[in-house]
Amino acid sequence: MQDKKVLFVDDSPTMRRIMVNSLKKIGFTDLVEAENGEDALEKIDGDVGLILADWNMPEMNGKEMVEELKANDQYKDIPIIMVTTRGTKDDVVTAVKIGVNGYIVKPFTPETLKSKIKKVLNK
Amino acid sequence: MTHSGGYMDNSTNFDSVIEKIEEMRDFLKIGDEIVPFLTELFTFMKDVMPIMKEANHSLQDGSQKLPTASDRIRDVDQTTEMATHEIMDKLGIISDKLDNLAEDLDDSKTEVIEDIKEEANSIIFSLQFQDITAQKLEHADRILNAIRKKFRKLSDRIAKVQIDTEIGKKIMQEITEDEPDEARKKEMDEINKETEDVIREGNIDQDDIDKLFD
Repeated sequence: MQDKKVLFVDDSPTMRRIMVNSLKKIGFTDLVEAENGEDALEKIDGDVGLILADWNMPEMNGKEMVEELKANDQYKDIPIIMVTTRGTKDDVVTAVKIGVNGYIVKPFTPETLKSKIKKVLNK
Repeated sequence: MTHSGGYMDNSTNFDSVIEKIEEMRDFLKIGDEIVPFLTELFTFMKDVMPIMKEANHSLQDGSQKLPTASDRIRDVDQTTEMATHEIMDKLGIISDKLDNLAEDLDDSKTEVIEDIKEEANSIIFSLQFQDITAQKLEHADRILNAIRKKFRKLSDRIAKVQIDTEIGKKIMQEITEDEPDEARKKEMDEINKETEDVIREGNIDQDDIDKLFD
């Protein structure tokens, strides 16, 4: 599981630092950071095996980014976990509809992050 | 036939006169009703005009204050982010030092070190509050901007109102008059005092303060 290249997308530098710290603790070493959906689409490559993405971001938000990725044959099967402050039922339903594989509401614990990643990658 | 016709003519004239009188009576009746109505309308205008004038002034004062509130929100966001990153840096340093320390300790002590590192890590996780708060502040900023846009639009509309009648011109002149009266000046002073920015970071350093006490 830890050999996967992880792309995490968040406009908050604080959240990106927290993610680096957490993902390294889980054991991931190949990490790519992106500031928003547009940046993520530029940085993604065929080696990425997991995407963690915020929803509310400038330029291109997480939902738009997921829709772009799911419409792309090369990237449509990469598992995506949404990590966001948006926690209404409607948001989660929307995420499921567009093809998101996991959903974490901020603030979250390291255990939640680890278990969701494990669940998504083992599917 | 002539007689009869003459009768008919007289009857028509009579009817016509009656009709005119009725019309005049109706007009007078309307006049009787319209005078109190107009009096009431003017009294209403007289009462409403100061309120409209105040609303227009509040619109202008509010528009001036909103950018400052927006800037303050952005300041808070930046300051909190900086402080959060400083805490993270320090926690990183503590973690590294604990790793170095653990190399020279036996297993029982290493366990304690790991516990402390775990605590440090949980502090880092708690710092997610910064991102959550930032998003809430950003939302508040968007609301303020939307209100400011609305205020500006209303202000522009008031300025562009084309009035063709004398009375209309006078009303608009009264509402949009810029020269503040005493009551408004007092009100503006109170608002300015209530919303005064008392945080002036970096304007004076501690050495300069200390010198004042020497």
